[in-house]
Amino acid sequence: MRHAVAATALLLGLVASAVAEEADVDDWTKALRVRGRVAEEFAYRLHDPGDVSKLRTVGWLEGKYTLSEAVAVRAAVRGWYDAVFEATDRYPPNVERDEKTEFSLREALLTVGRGDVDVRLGRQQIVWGEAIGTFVTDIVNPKDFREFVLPDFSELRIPIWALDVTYRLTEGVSIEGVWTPDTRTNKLPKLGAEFQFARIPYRFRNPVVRLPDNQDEFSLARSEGGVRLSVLRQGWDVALIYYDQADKTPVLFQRRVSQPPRPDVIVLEPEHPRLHIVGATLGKSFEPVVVRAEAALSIGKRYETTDPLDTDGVVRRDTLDWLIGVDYTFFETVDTALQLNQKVLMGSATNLTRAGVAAEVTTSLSLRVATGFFANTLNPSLLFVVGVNRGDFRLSPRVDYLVSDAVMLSVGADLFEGPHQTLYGQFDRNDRVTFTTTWRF
Amino acid sequence: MSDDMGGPEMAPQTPQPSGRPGEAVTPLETAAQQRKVTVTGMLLGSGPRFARDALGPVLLFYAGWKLFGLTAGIVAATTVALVIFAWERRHARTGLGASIGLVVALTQAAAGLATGSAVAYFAPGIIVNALYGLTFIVSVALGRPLAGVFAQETYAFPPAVKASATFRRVFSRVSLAWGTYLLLRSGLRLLVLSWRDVDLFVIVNIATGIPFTAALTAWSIWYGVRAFRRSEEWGWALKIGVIALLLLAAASPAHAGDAADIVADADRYRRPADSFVWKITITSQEAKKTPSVDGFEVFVKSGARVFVKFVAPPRSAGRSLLGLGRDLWIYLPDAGKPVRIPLSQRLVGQVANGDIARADYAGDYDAILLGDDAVDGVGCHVLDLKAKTKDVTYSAIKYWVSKDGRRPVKAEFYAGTGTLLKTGTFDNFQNVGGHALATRLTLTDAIRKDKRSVLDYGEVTIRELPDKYFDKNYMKTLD
Repeated sequence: MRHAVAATALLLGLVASAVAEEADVDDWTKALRVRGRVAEEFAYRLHDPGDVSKLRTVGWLEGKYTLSEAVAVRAAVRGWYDAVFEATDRYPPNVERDEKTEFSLREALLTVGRGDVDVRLGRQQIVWGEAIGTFVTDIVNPKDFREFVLPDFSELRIPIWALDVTYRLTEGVSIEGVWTPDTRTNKLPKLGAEFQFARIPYRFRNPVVRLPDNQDEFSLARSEGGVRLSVLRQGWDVALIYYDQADKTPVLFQRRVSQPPRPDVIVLEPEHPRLHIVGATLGKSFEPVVVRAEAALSIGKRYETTDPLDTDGVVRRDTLDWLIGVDYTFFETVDTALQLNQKVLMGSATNLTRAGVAAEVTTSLSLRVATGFFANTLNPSLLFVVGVNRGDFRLSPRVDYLVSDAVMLSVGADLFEGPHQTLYGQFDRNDRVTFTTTWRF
Repeated sequence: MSDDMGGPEMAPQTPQPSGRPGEAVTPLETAAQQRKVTVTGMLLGSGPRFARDALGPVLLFYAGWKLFGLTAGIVAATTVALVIFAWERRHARTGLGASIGLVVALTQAAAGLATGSAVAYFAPGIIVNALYGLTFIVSVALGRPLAGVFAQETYAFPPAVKASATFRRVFSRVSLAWGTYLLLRSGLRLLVLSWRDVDLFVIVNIATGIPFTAALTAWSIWYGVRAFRRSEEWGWALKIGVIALLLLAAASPAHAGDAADIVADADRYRRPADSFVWKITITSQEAKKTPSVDGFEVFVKSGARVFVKFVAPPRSAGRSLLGLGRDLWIYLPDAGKPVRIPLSQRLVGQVANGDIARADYAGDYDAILLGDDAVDGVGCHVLDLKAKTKDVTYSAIKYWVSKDGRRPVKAEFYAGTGTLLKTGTFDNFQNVGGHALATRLTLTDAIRKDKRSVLDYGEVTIRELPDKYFDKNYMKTLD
């Protein structure tokens, strides 16, 4: 407690001196900036049977007040109401409770800069990594997977309360430290939800009880943190990272509880084993080609196994995730990004049940193509991601049309194909078309 | 290049004439752009590179595969592809062929490692080869023959030559020849690969590769030389090539020095101080369409460090752009982090990222004084600017700078293919804080003249900006 008080006093001192020091600044820094958007998101599921799967009205409001060039406060809120639960009775009540309405604080942040030190304190997203559309080193925030990975990543990330301090050691070299007692975990879809993940194919003869995942969202004892060293030299953008955290995805440990004379009960208990993540990122432009690479080794990673001889139903497999990607613009108008991802398990993958793990080495390729017509008012794009091992894939074409400077219409589709126990194949019957209108102000 | 023979690195070589169509050409201009070219010279100059790219990876794969197994073969071939890529970049070539080769090599490696099959390792290369073939043919249909692009790998054509009808005609025919060859070869290799006999496949690969590509390359050069010599557009220029070379040797150093001074002086009209904030409005216009207006705040320090904040319209607000030298990042609120992008990517309308993020022609381009011209009655120096490296927005710029006061007046911007992309005019000169500045730049599309973007430079604040504004990790804070 004393440490917390001391840290708060230190921060307040920093704020006060920064405000005083930078009191005489230009007008542009003193503005209250407010932005927002309202979107109507419609999705229609194509199979079993075809039906509306989303009819969501989403509102976003964010503001920033700049006290001085060095100090600012920010806040952002998001709320939604999904009328699909009125339009169809396809989804069970637990899903309705979980997804029908939501109101959340997306950002509540104080930023203070003094000299070469910058402090960000509050609820925020901390994003590491070079690549787009992947989480290899984007590890700090937990994710909301209730709509799989289809929303924008800024929507997928769950903001956390954290302290983020950056110190510029010299030009092009900085070190960033992050600490958070906010230990919330990934938000997974409920049973019966549109994008409910494929369930682990256990073959228990005994009765099974699955305990809820109800760890505290805040814990000083289980607090998480890490550091990132960023270096920019001769156009080479390199970062080294270390992060200590609990696995954001629960792992189901098995316990056998005897209750004679009845048969033993199998208890499945979700736990979040501690992970030590060591990684690196790289970005470099070889005009006109941009190359990105990321790697992260998760030490202590555990997976559920269906091996009947395994006593706790969980095995440790330290895991290396890495990717390399290149961006290139064809004919000066067509932007393409090709990316190769691999997940490499340090050990056998036999009996492992995770949908994203197809073998000891799980490979996927993604291709993103985007262009613009009519002064970039009509913007078609295509995302194709394929799991090389078992041929499952996701295909997401989309066309954005800017009706005006503030209003955009989007028409798209999300198509999945592949065997049922694969990452994309598990949503084989969830193909959908989408229509979204967004008004920004 | 890891893809075996017949890739775009085998694209044709063609001589380069000189001069600008439809304009009076001074001897100096002719000299500056004229170099002697022969079929033998180009084959000897580029042949070893072709052989290396074509044979190196496939032979190393085969040796590694036979001696140590599939993984060793893949690692060896991929390593060679990486080395070739690095070599090409270091020697300041466009590296387009090598870049594509690197992507193919990585795809092959992924396919081979994922499946554990040598057959699967070769499959992506064949598919990509077939795609090359198709691309060659489609590029002709689009009027931008791909052979011309790859010819830049071995020779820097002057922009005026690349924009000419002769260039398009010659390289269209050459592209068709290469496209047909690549498609036929891909079909044959696919057939052999379907028999799953890797030894036979390697033999077919080599047999249909080097001999055919060498022959096709020789034909491309011979045909290109002949076609340019016989053309009314460039034939005369080739005939006086030897005289022009002598003139170039005698005259160009002194003029290059003058030219660099002129460009440096003209740059000052586009930069009010060492550290400043500039509000810029870009109005993009197109016939029969409502103009769209984008607003930016541009923070500049020491010329090479630029931070651009998107302030309007609402759909763009929150984005920002950071340029450090020739390195560029964009911050997108949806991604939540800065993302590396190339300078040549379009920002809005006719404006590339580099148009705003870089204003240092003197630092980015080598200049040669071509001669004199008049633009709307203003006497101008005409300069030919060639990119010092490939890391800039345009490969070449033809630049008109007024003799009186050395103000920028007009520019033509060229792509690496020699295509004229757009023209720019500088006007609305105003005195800002004791500096005369060009406060309007109008960019017009080279083909669709109705497509224009007008950059209006508004309020300027000259002040010392903190260094951290130019740190990519600070972009989110500045949003």
